[in-house]
Amino acid sequence: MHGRKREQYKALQRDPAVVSKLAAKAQQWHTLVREVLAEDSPPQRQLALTEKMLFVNPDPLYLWNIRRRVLLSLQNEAENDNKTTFLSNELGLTQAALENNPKAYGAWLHRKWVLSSSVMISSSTDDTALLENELQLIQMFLQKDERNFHGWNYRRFIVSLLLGDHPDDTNDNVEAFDASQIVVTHKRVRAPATTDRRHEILQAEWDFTQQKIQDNFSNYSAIHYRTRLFPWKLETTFDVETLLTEEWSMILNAVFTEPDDQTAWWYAQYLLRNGPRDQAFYPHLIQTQVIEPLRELLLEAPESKWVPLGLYLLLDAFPDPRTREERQQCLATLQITDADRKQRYEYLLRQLRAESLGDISTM
Amino acid sequence: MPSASNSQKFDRERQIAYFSTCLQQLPAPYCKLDTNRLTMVHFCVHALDLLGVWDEMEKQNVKYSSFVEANNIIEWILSTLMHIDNNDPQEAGFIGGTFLPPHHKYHHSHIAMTYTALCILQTLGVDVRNDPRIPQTAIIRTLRRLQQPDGSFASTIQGDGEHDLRFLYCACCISYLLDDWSGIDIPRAVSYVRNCRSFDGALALVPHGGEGHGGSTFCGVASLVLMNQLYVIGEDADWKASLLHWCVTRQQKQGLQGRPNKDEDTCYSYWIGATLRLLGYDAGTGNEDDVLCFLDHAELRSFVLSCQHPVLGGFSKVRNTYPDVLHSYYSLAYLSLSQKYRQDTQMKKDLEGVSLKALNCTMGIGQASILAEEGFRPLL
Repeated sequence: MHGRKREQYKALQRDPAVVSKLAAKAQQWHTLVREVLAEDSPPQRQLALTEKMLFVNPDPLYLWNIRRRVLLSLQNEAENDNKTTFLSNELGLTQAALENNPKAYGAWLHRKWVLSSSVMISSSTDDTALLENELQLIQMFLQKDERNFHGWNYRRFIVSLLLGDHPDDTNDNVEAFDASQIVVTHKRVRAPATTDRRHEILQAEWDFTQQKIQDNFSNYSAIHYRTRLFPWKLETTFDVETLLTEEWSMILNAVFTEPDDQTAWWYAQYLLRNGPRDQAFYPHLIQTQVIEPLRELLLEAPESKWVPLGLYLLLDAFPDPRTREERQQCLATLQITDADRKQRYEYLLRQLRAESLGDISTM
Repeated sequence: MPSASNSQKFDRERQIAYFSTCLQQLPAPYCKLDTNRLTMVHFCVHALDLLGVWDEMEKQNVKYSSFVEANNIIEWILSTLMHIDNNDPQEAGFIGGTFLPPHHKYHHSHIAMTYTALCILQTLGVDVRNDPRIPQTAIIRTLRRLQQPDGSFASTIQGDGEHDLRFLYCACCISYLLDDWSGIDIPRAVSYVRNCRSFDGALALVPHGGEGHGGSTFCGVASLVLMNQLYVIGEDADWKASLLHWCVTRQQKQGLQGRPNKDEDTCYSYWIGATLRLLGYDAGTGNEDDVLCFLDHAELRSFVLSCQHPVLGGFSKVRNTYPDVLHSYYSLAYLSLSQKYRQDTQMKKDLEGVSLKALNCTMGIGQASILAEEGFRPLL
C-alpha cells in the first residue's frame, strides 16, 4: 500500500451511497475470483475472466500467474499462426494494465514473459519491429515518470533481446547486458546481433540517455543507465578526448546551474574512476576543466554543500599529499555549512589524518 | 534544527490502537494485499512487540482487543502452512493467507510468507527451530529448489515470478531462524549480491543494470550479514566508502529518500538507517564505528513524527496523508533503531520518555525474539 487512492478511502468513510456501490463491486469481484479459482474452471473461461479482471485491477499477481499457466497449457496445442493472436492479446492487456498502474509488477513481468516467449518461437527479423515498438512504448512510460525503474529495467531487457545476449549463459565472468528476471521455460534461440548492429543498438541507447539528460539533468535513472553504456562508448570511440571533454562539460554545466543537485556529482565520481586514466590527456583535462573551475565555484557558492563535498571527493579519488590541506579545508567548511552532519566530516577528517600518518610511517 | 510545529509527540496509546485495529480489520484499499495477508500480520505483531504490548499482556495481565491474542494468531498462521509432512519434500512453506481452500491446485508457498510466518511465530513464543508443527527440514529443502543458477531466489517453486534481492533476503532470514544453511549456495548468493552493485555503490533490486535503491540495498547488506559475508563489502574500501556516502546522502533536508532526487519517505529511515548501522559494525573485531551518527537523527525523527497520524495513529509515507501498515511499521522500527544512536539528548524528549524495545536491525524485528541464549547467533 503506497499511498494510492486516498480519495477512495475518504469516500468510504463518509458517503453511504459510495459504500454500498463499493460493497456491490467487492461482491462482483469475489464471484469472479471464485470462478477463476474453481478446480473445474475451463481454461478458455479462465482467460476471459482474468482478462476482464486484470483490465480493472492489474495488481493481483496470482491472476497473471493463472493466465500464464493457462496460456502455457494451451500453447502445447497451438500452432505458430496463433502467435499473432497471443501476442496482440497479451500486449494489449499488459499495456492497458500498465496505463492503469505503471508500477504493477505483475504486468511488467507478464509482458517480459510474453516477449521472451515470442522471440523464442521464431528468431526472425519480424521480431526486430516488435522489439523496436517496445522501445517506443517505454519512451511513453518514461515520459510520464522518468524515474520509473520498471520502465528502465524493461528497456534494458528489450535491448538485451535485440542484442541477442543470452542471460541463461550468465556467469560471473560474462556480464550480460541485462539478466532477465524471469525464468523462461525455453531457452532463447535469438542469434546474437552482428557487431555493426550491436553498435547501432547501443548508440541509440546512448542517444536516448542524452535526450533524457537534456530534458532534465536531475534524471538520476538516465545518468545511471549512461554509466552502464559508458564502457562500451569508451571502447568504441575513436576520439576519446572529445568524448570525455563533452561529458565533463555536461557535468560542469549542471553543477554551475544547480550546485546542490547531487546527480551531476555522482556522475563526476563515476567518470573520474572509469575514464581513460591511463591516457596522458586525462589528468590534465581533470585538472584544468574540472578542478580549477570547481575551485572558482567554491568561492562563488560558499553556502553550497555539494561543491566542497564534490571537490573533496574528486581530490580524494587520487590521494595526493599536496591536496591534503585543500581536502581538509573542504571538510572544515562542510562542518560549518552542513553542521547537522558534523560527525560524518569528523570521520573523514580522521581518515585524512590516518593518511598523513601513513605517509610519515613509510618515510 | 527541527521546528516544533512540524513534529508531533509520539503517542504510544494511539499507535497501539492503530496496530490493534489493523489486526482486526483493514480498509478496502488493502484488498490487493489479500494474498499477502501474512505480511500485514507481521507488521502489526512486530509493531505491538516493539511497543511492548505482548510483554505487558504477559507480565501484567493487561488486555487489549480480542484480536491481539497470540494463540489465535499462531493457529491462523499454522493453518497457512503448505505442507506439514516432513517426509515428503515436495514443497514446504507458508501461504499468504487463507484465500484458497486447502489442497487447491493453485496453492503454493511463497518465500516472503514463509519468512514473515517464522518471524511472527518466533516473536509470539514458538520455538521455530524445534516445534514439531513446523517442517523445518522440508522448508530448507524447498529453499534449495528456489535458488536460481545466478544465485537469486524465486518466490515460489513455480519459478515464474520475479526473482530479486528481496527474496534472497527472505531466504537468509529463514535459514538464520531455522539455523540451517544447507538450503543456500552461499558463494552463488554472494555473487548475485555483487552483481547487483550499482556504479554509486548502492545495490539494485536486480543485477547487471538495475538502479541502486534503498530497499534493495538493505536486503543485500543484511543478507551478507546473515550469511556472515559482509567482508565482501568491508574489505573493498572503494565499495564501502561509496556505499556509506550513498546512504548518507539520501538525507536531503529532514527525511530519507529511497534513491537520489526522489521524495522523502518514512520507510527509508529504516532501510537506510539499518544499512548504515550494519555497515558500521566490524563483526570480525566486534568494533563498532558509530556511522549511524552520520545521519541527522533529530531532523529524521522530526520528519517521521510529523508523519504520525494525529487521529488514526500509524505513520504515513509522506506528510499529510493517511497511514498505511508498512510505513507505520518501518517508522516505528526506525524510532527504535534511533535509540541506539549514542549522542542523542533530544531522543527522550521526542519520544515523550517512551522507550521502544530494541530492534534487531538485520532481521527487522525485536531483538528479544532472537536471543543468543536461545541459540541464535548474535546479530545487530
